[in-house]
Amino acid sequence: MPIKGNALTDPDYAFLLSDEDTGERVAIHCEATSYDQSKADLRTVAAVRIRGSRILTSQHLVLSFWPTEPAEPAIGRLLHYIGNRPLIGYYLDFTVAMIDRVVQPMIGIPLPNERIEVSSLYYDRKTKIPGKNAVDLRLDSIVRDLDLPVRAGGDAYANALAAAMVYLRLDPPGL
Amino acid sequence: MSDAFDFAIPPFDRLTPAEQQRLEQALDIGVYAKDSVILNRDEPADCLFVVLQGLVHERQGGDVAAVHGARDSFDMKALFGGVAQQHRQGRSFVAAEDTICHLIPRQILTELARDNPAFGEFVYQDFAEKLRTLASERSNREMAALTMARIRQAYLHPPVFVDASASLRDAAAAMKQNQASSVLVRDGDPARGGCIGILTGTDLRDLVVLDGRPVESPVGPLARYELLSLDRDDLLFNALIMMTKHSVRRVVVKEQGAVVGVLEQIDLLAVLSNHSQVIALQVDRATAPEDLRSASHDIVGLIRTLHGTGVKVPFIADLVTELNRKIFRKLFELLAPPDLVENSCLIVMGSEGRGEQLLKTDQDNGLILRDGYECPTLGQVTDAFTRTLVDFGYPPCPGNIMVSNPDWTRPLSAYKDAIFHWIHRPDEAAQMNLAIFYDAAAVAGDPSLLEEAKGYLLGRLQDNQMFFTAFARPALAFDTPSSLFGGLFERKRSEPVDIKKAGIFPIVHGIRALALEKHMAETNTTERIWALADKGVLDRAFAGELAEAFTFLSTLRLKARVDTTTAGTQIDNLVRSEEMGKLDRDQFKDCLSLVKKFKEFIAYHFHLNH
Repeated sequence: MPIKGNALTDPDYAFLLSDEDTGERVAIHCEATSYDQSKADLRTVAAVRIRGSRILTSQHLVLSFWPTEPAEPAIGRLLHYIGNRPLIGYYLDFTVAMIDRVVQPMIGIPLPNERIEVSSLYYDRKTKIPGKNAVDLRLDSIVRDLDLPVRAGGDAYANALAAAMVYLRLDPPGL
Repeated sequence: MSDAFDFAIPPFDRLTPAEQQRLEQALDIGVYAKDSVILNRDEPADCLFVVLQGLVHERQGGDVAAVHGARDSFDMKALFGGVAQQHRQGRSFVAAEDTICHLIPRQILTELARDNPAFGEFVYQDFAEKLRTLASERSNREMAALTMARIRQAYLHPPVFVDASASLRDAAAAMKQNQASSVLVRDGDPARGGCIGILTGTDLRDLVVLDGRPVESPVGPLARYELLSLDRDDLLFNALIMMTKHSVRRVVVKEQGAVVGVLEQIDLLAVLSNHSQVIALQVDRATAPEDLRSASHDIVGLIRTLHGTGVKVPFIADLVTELNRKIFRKLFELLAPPDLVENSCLIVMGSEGRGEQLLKTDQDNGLILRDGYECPTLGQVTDAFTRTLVDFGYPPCPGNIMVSNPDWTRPLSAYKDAIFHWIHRPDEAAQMNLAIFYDAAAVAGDPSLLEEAKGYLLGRLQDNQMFFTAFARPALAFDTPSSLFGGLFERKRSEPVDIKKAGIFPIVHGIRALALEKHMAETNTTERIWALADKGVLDRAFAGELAEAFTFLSTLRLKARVDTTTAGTQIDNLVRSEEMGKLDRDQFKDCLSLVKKFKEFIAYHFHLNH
């Protein structure tokens, strides 16, 4: 993590470092050509904002990437969408790493946003209950265990949405 | 299970595929944990909630008024009800299980209702249905109020007299000329043993058309002389009962023995069916302070009758609050020049502000002036206001908390100074001032002045634990007896209990302290209790018991007061358990032990035992 603001090369993106509290979060998920970060190419990024108990599905964002087209314009839209909001996701480090491959050269810093990994929230919840069972951390297992509805398709957006629901179920606002 | 919106649910099945798509794109999703509040009692709704999975309780006061499961939607009333407060009536929606809802924004719903008439019909019909139910609930309450309406308040037809020697044709002509349906027949001078009879249009028809009497016959022998009459100050209800009992459609109305008019059944029914509160009308029409006197006087009678007919105390309190505030507002508007009304806010405080006073209690009022505004006649207006209210029978406040006292008629900035003083240099008087000011409600003028003063008050109280400890302490000031009887060697008569000190005050003040700590805008104790339950400060079951106990104790107190004021003695708050029925006594005991439990809760919550 860089010290805030110390390497930002594009002042247009200073809002990423703003202290303003929007009260919102963004659930995010990506699809790539491989799980190996060094070889993978970004295919799709889906993001959806969360305000209080509400997942703002009406304003969700899905971006597609093609090897033949520059990624920067789409990533710019994504950065404006997420702003300084904390990010929520499943296997979030991978998603953020994939995005950072474009972001770091583009604006000088990687994504500075706070990160909330839903599988850790789930793990913490499960290990509070005594017992020696191994915790099944696959996203579809978590969703089934928490009795959450799923979106058909299993694409990036469906996974971002699932992460948002898992987050709200495990860490409800105001409690 | 899928998160897709189920378009098989009516009325959404009426949407075309293109419209379904529009709806789908506008949807948000709400995820609610068990026991969390989905829609607060005072929160405006911006969308329609359609339950995808889980269970939602619609709560009104302490009761679950409705349950919404999967595929159910709520809440059209909140969405299209305009003034949310009015239609929500303190209803809140709470997740009874982990719940997920689809949220349909109001905007898209109205657009679709406009574009698709079949869908719109369903949406608005459902809404209208629910509104109707609400309206009839309210009219039941008002109907009860009308048991108090007097004959004086109904339209009286001026009496049309004919002499006994007049012919049937003369009688018919007199009816026609005066647009009356009956004439009164004067047989001799009533003052000297004469009598008055009545001849109606129906009588005329029967006599002439059916019996074939000549139209020249004198009416004297044909009129009926057993007149049904009532005094002008009798209850309208008595007139209704009399008409029903004797199957007649009119009664003669007298005042001090003399006939002043005829009350027709149709006019009586008009009053009873057109019941937008007789007293309220009187207030609205007042053009001088004097006109308000009788309205204000009627309130006491209204309370007695309502109480006598078994109307529940919270309803009476609502009604009385509404009427008293109307009177205060009207009186202020009559006395104050328009620019004073515009640049000030008349407030009522204490029980008046909480909407809990029943009989006329002490005046607790004040006036907040806009900073920089000066009114040359201010002193005269405020003096006249207080004096007139005293004259109407609202006793002056012993602590002199009235607009006629310059300490309570001052600019907003001076109110803020006072609030600062109350918080930071608390003595007994300051504590009390703060308590009653927190209960204040705006009655006339610009309510934003009170809002600003209250906002300042809440802003000054951030994290001031010391303050709350001192503020809450009076809740424990009076002893609450745990048992009404002395034990084994009980005396024949138990000690009377001061119900205000032992029961009502601890609840009111304890709840007030909790509400203040949570920065709540509610002023009514029962509403505060439920709002505290919504926030999780009070356990829901405990809140329910407490609200019920509060209502029961208030009822007992009203009973005690109605009795003592009729006897003409000093108003007091003493109740004697041996005068109660067994049921009341048992419940009274339960209430007192609940109050004790609540006091322990307050002591623990505010660290009063350290």
